[in-house]
Amino acid sequence: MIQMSRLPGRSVKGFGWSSQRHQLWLSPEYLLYREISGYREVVKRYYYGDIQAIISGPTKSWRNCTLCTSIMLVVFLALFALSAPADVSYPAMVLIIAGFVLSLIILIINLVLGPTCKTVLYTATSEAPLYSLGRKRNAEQAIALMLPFVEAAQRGEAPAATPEPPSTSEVVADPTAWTAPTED
Amino acid sequence: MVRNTIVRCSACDHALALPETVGGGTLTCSHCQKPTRLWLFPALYQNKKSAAAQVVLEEGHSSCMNHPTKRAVSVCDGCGKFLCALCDIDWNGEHLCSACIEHRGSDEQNDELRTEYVHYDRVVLGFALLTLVFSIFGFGFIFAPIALFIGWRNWNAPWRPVPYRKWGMIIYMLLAFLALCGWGLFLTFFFINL
Repeated sequence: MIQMSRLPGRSVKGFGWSSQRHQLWLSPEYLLYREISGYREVVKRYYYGDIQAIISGPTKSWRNCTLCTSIMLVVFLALFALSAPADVSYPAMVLIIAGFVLSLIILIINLVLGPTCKTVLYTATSEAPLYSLGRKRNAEQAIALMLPFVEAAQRGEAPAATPEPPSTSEVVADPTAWTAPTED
Repeated sequence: MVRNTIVRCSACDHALALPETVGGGTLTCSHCQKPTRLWLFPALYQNKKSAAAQVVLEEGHSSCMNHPTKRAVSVCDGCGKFLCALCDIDWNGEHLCSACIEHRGSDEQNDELRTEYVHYDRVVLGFALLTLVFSIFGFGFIFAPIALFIGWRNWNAPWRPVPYRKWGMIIYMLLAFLALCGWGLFLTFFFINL
């Protein structure tokens, strides 16, 4: 078995029996994308020489989740404040506290995981969304890990006329502006 | 440079105006004004040769097995068929036809072409659990032999494309075996008492 390492990031789509997990693995020759459903899985291999582009754009999920859980926190807090002096039944109080705690946990987890994003990998024949790279932090880490492999694979295939790519380690570390082309 | 791939904004799906150089950076979509992080690689700008203009078969030349009017440029390393430039598939340095590629993909030993896997250890676990659950209703013994058979039959099959260990399967098969032994003892005592 060839050496493989798992890249940061995971995703679960769907619920229960129909849920699907997504993982990205790094091998010496290709990127392995796994879609696991129950006891079956489907894999896709993206050879480094075929990868043309990777894009990662922000999505609203993180903001919406933060907003919703914050509102729920406020609602449960208000309910607790109103029910404390009143003669509210014990089960109702437990439900209010449980709702508050659950909302708080979800909010903290969401804040810790960081902003969400949508990452898509482009080859000549496919446009593949990478659902496991749904958080910005994970996407940047994973792409930084796979960049050397992609560059090494494509350096050998790139035609002489193509300009030398800039140092991607610098670009990945601080990609605030587009790198200007250098002409020989 | 020719670039045939259209890269779309992740927010609005509008085509992005890409620069003519490789590298990474942030690009603002002209349609929705959302920033998108981009990493462009030399493969995007490569002018890969499409299948060469097919040479029409001339007298004295071998023809492709699939395209009788086209000239054969290589021989399949798998089955020996003559192949034109369109039919010739370069796989790890070998020239193969599509049938041989498909045949190798169905070969259990050829992991690089395989795209679907069954987690047999989980299947065995599922049947072992069914044995335990349905033992309450009196017919759990049906599932234990199925679990053991599936585990034995697929012991050498690839369960996953990534490194894995078989200790899980061993434990699940042991569970099914113990459940089967338990049922065996129960039935033995039952019939003895009868």
